[in-house]
Amino acid sequence: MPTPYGQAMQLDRWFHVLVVMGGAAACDTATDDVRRDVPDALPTADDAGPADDASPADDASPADDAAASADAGDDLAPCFCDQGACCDRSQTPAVVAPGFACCWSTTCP
Amino acid sequence: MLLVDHVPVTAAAAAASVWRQRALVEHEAARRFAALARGLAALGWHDLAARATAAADDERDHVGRCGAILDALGAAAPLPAPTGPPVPLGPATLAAGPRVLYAAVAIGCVTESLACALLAALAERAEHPVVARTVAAIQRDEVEHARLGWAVLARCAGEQDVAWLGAHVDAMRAAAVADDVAAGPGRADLAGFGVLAPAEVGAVVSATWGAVIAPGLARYGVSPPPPAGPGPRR
Repeated sequence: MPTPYGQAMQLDRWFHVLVVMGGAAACDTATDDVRRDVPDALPTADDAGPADDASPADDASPADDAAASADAGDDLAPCFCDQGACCDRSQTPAVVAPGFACCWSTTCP
Repeated sequence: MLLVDHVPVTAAAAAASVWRQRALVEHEAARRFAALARGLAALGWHDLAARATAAADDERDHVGRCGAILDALGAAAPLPAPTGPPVPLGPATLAAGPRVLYAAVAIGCVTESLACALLAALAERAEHPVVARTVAAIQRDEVEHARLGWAVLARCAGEQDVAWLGAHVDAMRAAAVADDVAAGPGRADLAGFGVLAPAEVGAVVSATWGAVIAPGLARYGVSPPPPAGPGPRR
């Protein structure tokens, strides 16, 4: 039976959004400027987590335009994106459409 | 607008029972994140503690969102709330520091990561605007909550060996499924109300576990022990 959520790309994206970005952000130890979806709070390549197979330079660089949308919160319509493009690392820079918030709570590297 | 104007009352009642249970789960999640925040602060990780405090606030907000759906389903009533202190997660033998890590992994890496995938599946199926809005809003928060768990794990793993968690992974998964996933009424016709059929839930859980959570844990050296064999033959 096909799963309702079994597409490899979708799961790959979840791995990236949750595990890679979540883990990389752990190394940002600043206490005053840690906010959601703000580029300053996201890791740099130098902030790589402990996993050797991570490629933080590719995985965690923010996109400023997307950050602006994601940071606007409830004023924007939730967007489940064009899942064939948004957050797809093969099509960087991915974007959040104007007027929408990123439901992945990321800045779409 | 009452959703029950458009659907059989029995379906609305079944969906309401699930959303009522979810409200209770959100209540409990708020307490657990608050406890996690205290634990993280005690470790001196105030940045992560602040995120856990924000997560607790989010979960309290989710209770209200669940209530809005219950209102729309015509099932408005005082929402349930847990009583007594929250039950500490993990074996009682764990020291304070490892217990914080256990809680972060159980809540964030396992439960909230599963919730993200399930909510994404729900979002594709939700038919009613109030349900769709609620699912979208909750999912946006759950992404951050899951990432908090992965952040705690990453930070701990950068300082110490965390492989001991592997012995507890199966228990974490079982608890997450029991608490947050398996609360459905066993019906296949409620997806529009934000309730997936059990088979769909199982498929999402299995796929997410295999492609996201298990490999995520493995990145940090956390793997469940192999299944016990049949034992020596005589």
